[in-house]
Amino acid sequence: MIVANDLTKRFGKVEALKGLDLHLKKGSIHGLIGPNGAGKSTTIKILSTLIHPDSGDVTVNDIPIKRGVKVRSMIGVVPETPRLHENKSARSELMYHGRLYGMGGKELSSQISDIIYSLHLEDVADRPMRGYSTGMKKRVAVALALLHDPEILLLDEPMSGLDPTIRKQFKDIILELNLKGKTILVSDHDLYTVDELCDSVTIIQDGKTVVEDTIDSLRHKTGNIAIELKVSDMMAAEKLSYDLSSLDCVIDVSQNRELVIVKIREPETDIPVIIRMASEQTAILEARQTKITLEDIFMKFAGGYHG
Amino acid sequence: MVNLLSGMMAIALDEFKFAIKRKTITSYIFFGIVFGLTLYGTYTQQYGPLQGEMQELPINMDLKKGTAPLIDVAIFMITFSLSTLQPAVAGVSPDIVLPVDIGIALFIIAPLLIGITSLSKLAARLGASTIAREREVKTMYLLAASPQPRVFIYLSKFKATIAAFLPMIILIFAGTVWIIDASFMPYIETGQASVLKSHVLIASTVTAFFFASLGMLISTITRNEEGAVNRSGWTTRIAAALATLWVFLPVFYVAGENTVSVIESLTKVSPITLDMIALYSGTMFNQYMLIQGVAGLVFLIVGLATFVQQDVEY
Repeated sequence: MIVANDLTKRFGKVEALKGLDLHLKKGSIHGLIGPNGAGKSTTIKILSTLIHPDSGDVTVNDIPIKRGVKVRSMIGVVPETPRLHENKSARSELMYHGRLYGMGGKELSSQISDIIYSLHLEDVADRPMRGYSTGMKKRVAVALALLHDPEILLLDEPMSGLDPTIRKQFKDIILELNLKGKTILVSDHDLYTVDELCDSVTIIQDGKTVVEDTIDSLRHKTGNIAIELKVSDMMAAEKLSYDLSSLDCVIDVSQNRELVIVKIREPETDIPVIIRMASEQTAILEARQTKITLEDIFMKFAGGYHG
Repeated sequence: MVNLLSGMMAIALDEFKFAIKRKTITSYIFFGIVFGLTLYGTYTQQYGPLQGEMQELPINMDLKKGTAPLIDVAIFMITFSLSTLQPAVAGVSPDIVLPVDIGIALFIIAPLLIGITSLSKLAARLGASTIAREREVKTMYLLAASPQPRVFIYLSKFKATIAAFLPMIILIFAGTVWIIDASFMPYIETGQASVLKSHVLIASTVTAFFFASLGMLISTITRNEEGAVNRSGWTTRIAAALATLWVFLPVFYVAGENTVSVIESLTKVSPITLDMIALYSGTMFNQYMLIQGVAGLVFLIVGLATFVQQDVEY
């Protein structure tokens, strides 16, 4: 659906993208994750034709992005902080936006009413948007992005600035849109959000793609399960980490003070082996099984702090 | 397929609404008062046949008729003073009847200069506000991410700018028609009157086009609306100052012909000066309008090309 190869973009002395690759399958919710300044927003802006790449190719449904008009008809974009015409009401902003897409008449009016209703904006739709909260503005931005019924939605940090209730509503809206067949690209540095929403991810760092795959596949590569073993002191933890790393079933071992974290693939067969070996070495004060998170995956591939 | 024309109309209408809100009504009120008063002032004078026919006394001064309106006004005032000196000394108050070419000179250097300056200022300001405003408040992404081509976005905003200053052109033209018909008509030929009227209409339109294009170019390369409006304001202020300098050119004869020649060349940088010269002498009209028109077109194309290539932030 979207294919980007070897994208580069420079802003003055800053090289924002240094050969980024991105592949987005039809009907998927794909996450674009990376630390601040990795090039996530730049990528979204290039895909929405707002900025021009210095080099590289991008196609949307096999149409080169340089043919802007056709590509933009297929795309809806929701910026991180949507700026709207504050003196207008949501309804008149939607009306104006619809006309930009060649829509009009009763059909546009009824479509606007439907979208206002589905995004729970009916109480405020006719008030000037200067009085709207961040959540309301975000919902208006989603309404604007959806009005022309695009195949692809580009969401830049969709959850930023939203309170937990609105986040939940937003998550449901995104999932519902995906069920209706929309292909969605979510750029976010909140890995929890991406983990909850996405089927696949592209991890980027310093303007380059580090890895791109389905989350399940990445989890498999990182280890499906982690076991946290708490021992009496740091010395014992260090020795246990070293010994466990020699086992074939262990994918990765890390240590945090008295805590040893062991990543494995097959919980049924691997856990007893590890517990047995650990208890032979030292006294285990506590043992806990945890799921491998997207943060673990990110740390493995990007190898650094994000956020 | 997206209906591009409907989109263009929507952008133009939206921009027009903004243009109306942005001190445009104040500009029209100011223009109405100043242009109206000076025009009425011109109307209240009595006019007679051409100056050449009225001259009774030869004057021995190094003034060249026809190069600047103030010279003609000065020649008339000196001639009038000399010819009325005797009855004035005898206690008879002379009736002043201005020759019609002096009336035309006064019309050009007072109401028309003010009118064209106000129009230029408005056109430049409206143009300057278009792109920079949306860039500053970061709403340009709404347009740039829509299927409307950037060329159409730019031209729609330009169209709205034209629509907002068009009534001022019409008012200047209407004022010109009125003063010619009401005050000058019996003393100038119908053909000459028609030429002057059409020249005022063309000069106003071309100058407004020039400043609107320049304003939009400034808007394209300036980060915020205030900066763009200030810059465009300076362009019209400089242009108006140079045109005023041209009007007062005869004063600089005291400093020598070379100085006058240098200052005159400098004043011709201003499109408003070109309007004044073209309207007064009539000889260089087509060339001067062509220069302004081409310059305006170049500004429009450069602004358009810059805007199409620009990155849009949200």
